[in-house]
Amino acid sequence: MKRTMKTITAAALTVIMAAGIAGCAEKITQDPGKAGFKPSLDTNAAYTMKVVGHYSNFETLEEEFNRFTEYYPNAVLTYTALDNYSKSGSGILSTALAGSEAPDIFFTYPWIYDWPDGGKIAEASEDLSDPALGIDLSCIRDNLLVRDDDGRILSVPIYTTTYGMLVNENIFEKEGLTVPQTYSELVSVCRELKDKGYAYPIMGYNKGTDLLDPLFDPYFCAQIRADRKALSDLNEMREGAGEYMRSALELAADFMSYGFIDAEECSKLENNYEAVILRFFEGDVPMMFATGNTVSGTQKRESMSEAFTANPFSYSFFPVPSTEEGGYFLNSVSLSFSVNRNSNNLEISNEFMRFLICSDELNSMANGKRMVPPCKDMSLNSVYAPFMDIDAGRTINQSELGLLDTTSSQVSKACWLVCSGVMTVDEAIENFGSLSTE
Amino acid sequence: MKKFLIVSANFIIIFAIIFFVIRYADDKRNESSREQTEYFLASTVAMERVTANYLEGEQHICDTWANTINAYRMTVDEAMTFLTSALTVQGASAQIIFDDDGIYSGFSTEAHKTDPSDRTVSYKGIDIFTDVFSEKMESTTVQVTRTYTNPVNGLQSLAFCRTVTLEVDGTSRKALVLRVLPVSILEKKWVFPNEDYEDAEISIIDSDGSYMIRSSSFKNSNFFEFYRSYNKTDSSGLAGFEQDITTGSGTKTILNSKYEPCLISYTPVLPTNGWTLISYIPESKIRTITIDWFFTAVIFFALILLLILDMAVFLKISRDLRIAAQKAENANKAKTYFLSTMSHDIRTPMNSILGMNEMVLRECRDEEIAAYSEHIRTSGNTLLGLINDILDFSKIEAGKLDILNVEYDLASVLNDLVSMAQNAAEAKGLGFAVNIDRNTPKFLNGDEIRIKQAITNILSNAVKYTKRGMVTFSIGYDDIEGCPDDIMLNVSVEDTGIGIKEEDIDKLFAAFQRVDEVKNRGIEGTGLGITITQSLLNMMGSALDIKSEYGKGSVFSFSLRQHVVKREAVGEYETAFRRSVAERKRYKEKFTAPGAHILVVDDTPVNITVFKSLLKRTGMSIDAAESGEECIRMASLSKYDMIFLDHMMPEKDGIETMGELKRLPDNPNAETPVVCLTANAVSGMREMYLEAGFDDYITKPIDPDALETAILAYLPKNKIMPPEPEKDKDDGAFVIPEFLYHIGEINIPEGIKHCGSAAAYIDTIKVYSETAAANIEEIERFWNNGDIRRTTVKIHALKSTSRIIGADGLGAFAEKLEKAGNAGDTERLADELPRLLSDYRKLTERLAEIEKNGREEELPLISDEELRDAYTAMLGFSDTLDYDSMAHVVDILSGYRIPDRELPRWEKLRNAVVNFDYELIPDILSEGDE
Repeated sequence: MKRTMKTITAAALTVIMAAGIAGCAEKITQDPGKAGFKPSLDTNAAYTMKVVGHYSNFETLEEEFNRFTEYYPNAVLTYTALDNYSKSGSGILSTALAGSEAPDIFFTYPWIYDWPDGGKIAEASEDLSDPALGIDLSCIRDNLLVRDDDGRILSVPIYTTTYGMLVNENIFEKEGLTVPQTYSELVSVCRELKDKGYAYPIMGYNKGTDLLDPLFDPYFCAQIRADRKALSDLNEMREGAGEYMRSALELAADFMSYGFIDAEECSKLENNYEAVILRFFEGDVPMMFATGNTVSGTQKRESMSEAFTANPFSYSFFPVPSTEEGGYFLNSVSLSFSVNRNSNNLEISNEFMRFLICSDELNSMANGKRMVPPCKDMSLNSVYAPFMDIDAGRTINQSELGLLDTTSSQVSKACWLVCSGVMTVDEAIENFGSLSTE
Repeated sequence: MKKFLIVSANFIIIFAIIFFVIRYADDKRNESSREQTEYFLASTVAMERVTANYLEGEQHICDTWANTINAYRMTVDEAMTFLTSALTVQGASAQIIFDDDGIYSGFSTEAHKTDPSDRTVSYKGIDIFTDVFSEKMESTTVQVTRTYTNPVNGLQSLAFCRTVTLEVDGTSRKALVLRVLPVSILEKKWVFPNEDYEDAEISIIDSDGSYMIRSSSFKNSNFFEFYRSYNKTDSSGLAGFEQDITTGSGTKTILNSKYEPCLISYTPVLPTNGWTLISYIPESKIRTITIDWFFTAVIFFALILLLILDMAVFLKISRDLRIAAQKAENANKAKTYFLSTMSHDIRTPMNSILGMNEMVLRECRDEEIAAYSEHIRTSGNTLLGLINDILDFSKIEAGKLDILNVEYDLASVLNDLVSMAQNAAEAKGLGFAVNIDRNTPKFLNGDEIRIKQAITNILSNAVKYTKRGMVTFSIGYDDIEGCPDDIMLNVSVEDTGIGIKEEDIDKLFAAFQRVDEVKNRGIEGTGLGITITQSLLNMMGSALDIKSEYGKGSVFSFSLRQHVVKREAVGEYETAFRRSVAERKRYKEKFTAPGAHILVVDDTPVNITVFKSLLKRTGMSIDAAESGEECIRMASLSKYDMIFLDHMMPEKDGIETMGELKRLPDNPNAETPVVCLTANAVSGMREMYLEAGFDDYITKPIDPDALETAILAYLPKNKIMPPEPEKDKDDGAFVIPEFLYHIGEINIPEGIKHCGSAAAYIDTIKVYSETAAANIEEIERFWNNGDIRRTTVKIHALKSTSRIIGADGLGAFAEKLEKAGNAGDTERLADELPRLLSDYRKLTERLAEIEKNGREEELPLISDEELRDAYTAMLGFSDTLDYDSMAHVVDILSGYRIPDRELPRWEKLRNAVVNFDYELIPDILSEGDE
């Protein structure tokens, strides 16, 4: 009897103690957001850190803030959208960097250093490859990390993007069609859809230069990626370099010739982001040329679309089949983070970068935003599932390609001029290098 | 079931307590929350006043600037100089912006951060002036832009605006004067005014939701976008939310970027064009009274744990108690089983012993053997008494001994008691005095048996523990005042025995304890007598009083209230007692029932023999079966007036047999009373037997009186006849052979009188008869030898013995010849002596029949009707070749005296059965008919 009583008492006390310890433990080790991250600063100290960029809303970053503050509960992390941030020549970033409330981390893009104040931005940027910072860049796909002439890595990709087309899978299912995997299938499907009464089997961005980019750009890049001379000639805009565009331009001209895409209808879209998404959510457009940046806005806008709320449908982002072998996965950096080397909050900024730059967090950010993550161990949002089927040989990294921003603009312009019927293919080739991009 | 209810009740109570606590705390929290919410909103409204004042103040400065510029018709340079000099707030700047160039460019008092020499400013791509220049804005007191990125310094700022007219190259040019303030300056100013809300934050949004001032917890660039990002809503929900926020004051709960519930209160900033001031605080910070769920859970689980602990202890104790109870029950069952077994195993052979002994006592002619037999009876009864003591004690312990009050005759009780005690006292050489108050009412109402038992116990003890001296048994009474129908019967037993030490008196009442064990070890007993007596008296409302002086003697007494049935005094008790003593040894059947047919079932043949023997004188026809199966078979064939069924039998016991009997289809004995014969006399047996369907039960050893009483109770009344009239009034124990009554030469009553008893008379006749031949031979020899004297002596003896046996005629004849002999009258002797001897020889020849017929003569004479029935039964058994039953009938008939006329046939029948010539029986039986 005594022994039984002791056993019962001991068990009771054990449970009570365990409950107490569990209660205390909750305060000590609150579910860490990232198992591998080890805080290197005083976690009880107060910190502030400001990130600036052009996103008017950046929920996924704010979620990272939340996770980071689990380690640093007294850190105040803010994100602020600056007016004119992404506009080349506005100089707002360099101004802000020089201001009294300079940002600690700021958005950059591969082309930002080509801007008039690109030098100032570069100068204000920290070399994130500095081993002393302890930022593990090994998780980033190598060809996405760009070093400057001094071998510094001034920005780390956070999001990448690609061209493709949003496909309303319900329409295909309803019409008994399969999503096209080859160019001829694309043409054929568009024709069938047209025949079935779909006025706009395919739509795209409103701005002319971007309309056929999802079809044209990957194809064009695929033509020149192995041809260093072509790349050089194009970048140098040497005479005759426009010839490298011929097959791509002919593809664009051919597709336009079918009349499946109505540029005029597309131009009614107010912008290439929300308007495109909401138009697609109307449910009568089987395919919508777009980039990953547009896809990133789809999730939040599902609830904003009365049409979609009333008649929701399944959709995915597919590669545009520009050849008989299928499409390409043209991957390019969409957004990078740089650290203000002059920041008053440099320690916590670098600590945040150490926290952020890892597969888990980057995948989490990309999936939350429906963007393509930059890490090697890539985990795509389900809407990108079709891209998982593309083999490595058809994957192209735009940064690695080395096409200059100016060259890209000339190529895009040539494409649009051909698509819009302003120029023939030959004329566009002929005028390559002197096409107005205004 | 009880356990489940207790556990459930405890859980319900605990849950009820927790529920009540939570509910109470929740109510308090809600009440507090309401108060806090209202207070928070009030603080927000108050803060709006502050904000409005501030904005109006800033606007006033801007307006002052504009008024001055307009009043002095300043040029751009003059205005810029003026504005530069007018700035007093650090961080603030002033700008002149022209709205007519399409890109809203102008000049700033602050130099460009990237070029200190550059004081130009351009708002190209920054749409902040559309509203400012709208007519709507013009009507408001405060003209302020949304938050924007100041192109000059990259700071998030807002600007108070007022239109001015500047002199440019001699013409007037409309422009805006801006008082630009970094939001960070404002954010530092906008601190929630109430220290109760340290975690409260303030934001200001415009009509589109764009932040003017954004607190750190608000995300996105637009409040509504922030709301949409972290709160589940659709387009209509969002529209409603926007409508609420921008058109009035109130509070709402929303989720923040951590998806935590937060309270916002909002109120329009009146001087502006659609600005709303929003106060924000996480709910976890505003709820001053909150339920600490962890604490509640700990308390809850602690209570549950406590309950489980209690339940475990409770169950443990309960289990221990149950086990203890089970053990006690098992022990009790074992005790009961032991008692039952002991009762059965001892009482069964005791049945044979006492039953057979009873038959010996009834039939034995040898006084010496009869004395031995009497000893057997006494010892047997003592042994039964011991067993009965234990059984009674077990009944008392089990609470199954009941007091049954009946009317009784006190004299009868006293008879039995004195009879018992006097014999025992005499046997020990003790004096036994009986002191009875003759006026004591004779007919009382009470439990005669238990009263007798109580007195027997103390009388037995008195005799047992007294070595010399005497035992005095006193009975008296006292009237009870106010109760004329009741008396207090006073009983006391005084002895001159060994006495009891004062300290040992209490031990008398303890079961199985005997006082002075060593000293009294030669005295038999269980040590239960006084315990039982005390218990019985207690049950009857009395108590035993003991007064004792060690070594000198004791007085055991008690007073018992008894109801008086009839006020008739017990009277001359001694006379009645002596008479009863004289009659004590006589057995006389209570009844005869020659027409009755009963069945006795017992697996022990001796018991059956005893049973039959005990009822032999009743003349009943008794069939016997030695097993349950046989009983069922016989009962299915014959109708019996009663069935006595033994309980303990191998194969099929009495209860099973009883059950089958009841279920037997077309059972001729369906209504026949069945009495259980059992050696199980422990408590509870009666109920068990009655429940099993028996009508009654009789314990073994069978008490002849109880047996006859039971039969009288259940046998059909028309079959009960009074006992045969006694032919020998003086000695009913011995039946005078019938043939003696046919010998006219003897006077039987006179002979018995001379002999003192019938037995002695019979014995005397036997001796008279046996010695006759020798006497005749001697008389003849003496006469022939001429020995007149010896011849005369022998004739004298013949005279005496003849007169003793009642042969008065022969005695008178012998007396005449004796006188002749004494007179020397040889002639007369010669003439008459041969006739005397002849008469003597004839008489003895007739008396000699006593030797061969003596036993049969003792048997009851079977009636003609019974004999006819027996013959009919035998014929029936003959038809069915049931030889066993035929033999059984012959056995039964052997228990009767057969009329002389039937003796030849009877002899034939008996021989046929003995010789297994059953086939001859029908012919023998039909002989008479032919």
